[in-house]
Amino acid sequence: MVFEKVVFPSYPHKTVFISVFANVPKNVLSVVKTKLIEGDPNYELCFLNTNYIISTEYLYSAIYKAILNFETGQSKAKTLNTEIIFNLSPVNNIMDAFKRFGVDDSQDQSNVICIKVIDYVSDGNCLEDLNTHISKLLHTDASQNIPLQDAYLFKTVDISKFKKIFKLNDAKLSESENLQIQLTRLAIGACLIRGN
Amino acid sequence: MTVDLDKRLRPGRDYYLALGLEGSANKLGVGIIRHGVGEPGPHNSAQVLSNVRDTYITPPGEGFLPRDTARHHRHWVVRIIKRALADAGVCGRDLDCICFTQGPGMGAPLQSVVIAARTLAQLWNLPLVGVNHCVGHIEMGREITGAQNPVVLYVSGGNTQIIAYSRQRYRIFGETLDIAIGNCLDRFARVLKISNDPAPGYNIEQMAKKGRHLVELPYTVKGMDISMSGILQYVDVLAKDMFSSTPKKNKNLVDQESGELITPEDLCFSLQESLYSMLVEITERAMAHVQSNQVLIVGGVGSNERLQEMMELMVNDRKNGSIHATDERFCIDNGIMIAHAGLLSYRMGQTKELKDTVCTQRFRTDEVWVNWRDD
Amino acid sequence: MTDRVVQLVEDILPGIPLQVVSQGAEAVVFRTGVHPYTAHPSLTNPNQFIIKYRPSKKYRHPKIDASITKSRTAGEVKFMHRLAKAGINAPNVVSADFKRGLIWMEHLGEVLPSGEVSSFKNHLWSVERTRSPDECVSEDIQRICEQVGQLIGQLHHNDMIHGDLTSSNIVLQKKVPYLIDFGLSSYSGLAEDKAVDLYVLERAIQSTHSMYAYKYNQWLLKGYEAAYGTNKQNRRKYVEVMGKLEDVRQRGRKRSMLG
Repeated sequence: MVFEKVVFPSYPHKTVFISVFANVPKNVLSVVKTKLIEGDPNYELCFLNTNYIISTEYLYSAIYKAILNFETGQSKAKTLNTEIIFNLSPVNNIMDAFKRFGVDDSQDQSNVICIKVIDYVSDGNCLEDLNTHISKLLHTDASQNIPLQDAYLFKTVDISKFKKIFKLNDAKLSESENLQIQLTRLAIGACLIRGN
Repeated sequence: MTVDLDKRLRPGRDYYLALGLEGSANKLGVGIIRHGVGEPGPHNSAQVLSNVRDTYITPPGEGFLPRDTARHHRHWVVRIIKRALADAGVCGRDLDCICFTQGPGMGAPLQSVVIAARTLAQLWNLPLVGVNHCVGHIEMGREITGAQNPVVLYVSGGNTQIIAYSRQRYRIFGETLDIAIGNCLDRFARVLKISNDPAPGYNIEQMAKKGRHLVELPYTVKGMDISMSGILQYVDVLAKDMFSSTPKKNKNLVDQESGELITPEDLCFSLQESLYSMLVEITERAMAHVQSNQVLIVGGVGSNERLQEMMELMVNDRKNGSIHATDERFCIDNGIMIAHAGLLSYRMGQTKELKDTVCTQRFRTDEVWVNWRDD
Repeated sequence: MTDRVVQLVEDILPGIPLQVVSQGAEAVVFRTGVHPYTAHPSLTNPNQFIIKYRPSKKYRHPKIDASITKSRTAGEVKFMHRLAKAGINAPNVVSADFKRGLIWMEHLGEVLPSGEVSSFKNHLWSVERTRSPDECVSEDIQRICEQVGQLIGQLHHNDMIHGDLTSSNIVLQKKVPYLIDFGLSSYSGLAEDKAVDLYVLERAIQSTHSMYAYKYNQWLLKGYEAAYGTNKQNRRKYVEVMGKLEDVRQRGRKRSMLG
């Protein structure tokens, strides 16, 4: 069982839970999608695909911004879970953000990132329980719970598609600097200025 | 101060006297000032011996035209001079110099007043001193308020400038990129059919007190400069819809929160809030730039209470900040400020030959060599 | 800075240690050791960050205040994103809160032996203090000046205007110049606006580094020219800006207008 526990300095009373599942089959994902639309309380989580998640830093940035927006009355989405999805997107349209960053059941299998922001917990047990719960929703023989790692994320992203949706085709990238870092910086900027 | 201001002291006297003539717009003013010998300062302040003014008032709905204003000045100038001399109890030969507004301002009125100045100078055989109108406001403001080295906001019918002193010049740090503040208020009043009596700006201020809803108007600050023509254009469109006999639904004419209709009072309120915010903002920028914490407001619009209140709120948020404003005797154009600034330059040897006393409509504040200051 | 502004920022960022770096009319700049969302940011300096804060102004109507704070903060972040896209050296944005007027960004520059931050200004000043007059105009200084000129050339080539170029708004990181502070920035393709941008810097150099201003400015313009390259169309643009710069020098920044 692997998952991340993140606490942001500005929000010490919030704990962010993140876990990653690789190769989740299409049929499981379709169920998740349906349940999300139905508003099943068992699925009150933020589910993402990893197609455009360029790095953990970029992911954290969007989660942080979503919490900030929620806490300061600047959010556009109804729930924090959808606000996270929205803040991953450079496009000012929630449906578009869902399509790109939400559960992807268009392929045979897909990677899934699950996020939940909960009020502060001191012991890890409750997060263990949460991950067990998610595992039951997503775990099959084919899929596996893997750690959240930059190298893995970068490998799964189609760079040319990524550049297209983040409007980075005309961006001047340096040959000498790490590409993942450069794209991370630009993606964070693109999301921040969304709609402005 | 290492400046020697006493090279021109008359033998046997320990003071100077100057008469100032102002007529760059619709006010004709004559004033006589007395400076004691030595460095000016709190212990040696200038004495206003007389300060007489007559304003050319036009019928409601009309502005003052150069030709008519000049005629008014010509008609009154002798009487006003006589009264100023009588009030002060001095005669022409007692004076050290005659000071006049050389610009900026309206051509014809300036010219009619300079003729009076030249005549007096020749009559009494006195030197002439040409004074920049803006520098007159600044020096008088400093003298009256005791502000040592303030950032000056000069706001009047024809001027909108942020000025600060640096190396013997009053440098313009910011100004309007299009129209002057007073001009903007006048034109706004005309669009909304607000009376000119006693002054459009005054009536806007009174109506603004009854405004409740804020209409967001274009807010254009570029560094230390501002632009006001966008606001006028915007209000033009609103006013057309407001006064149209077949009212069109304009969503900008309905307050978003209460759903109530926007009134002319609301527009006055919004205009003041926007314009004066812009002015206060560029003043604060200039203060930060020159590291000053004093503000001096001069010019006719400087008497607006809301502007003064906003300026005070800004200044209170700065360490050791202080705000200085003069009352209407000195805020509104007058002769005494011309006499005061003129006498300072006279004492530094800046006089004009008759042939150099031509007035100019354009005369920038920073063209004047402020050699009476050396800080 | 007054207690009110300190109180405001402490309410917005509770528990974040802040050190004031500078205070302008519009914004206060703080330094902090806390990154908002990761302990291992991929930045040049992973331990220090800058927070730029535009406090609300009491004199403004709350509605005007809110809309100005939001649009200016967003505008600045947008400008910085455009810079990043164009590969122009400037701090990276870490995060932003438009409504409350906060921009969290990368901290650039080192601490000089004098204890000051390595801005272009402080670097030149420390050189002017410690070296002989000949060494003040040596090759390494020429190289930095040219790089600064080139950086501004790149900026203008992208039709971006800084609006407040001074030697303290350029920071050296490992001897490489970066632009900072885009509070007065704008977009323009007009040669006039670019010329005014250059003129403001030229005047700033003259007043802060008067001893060697002539040389510094000469090198800055040399670097500026280099940024435009040899392409015929770009050359023409460069020549146009230089023509306007001459005009602006003649008349000063402001045009003459009716009093």
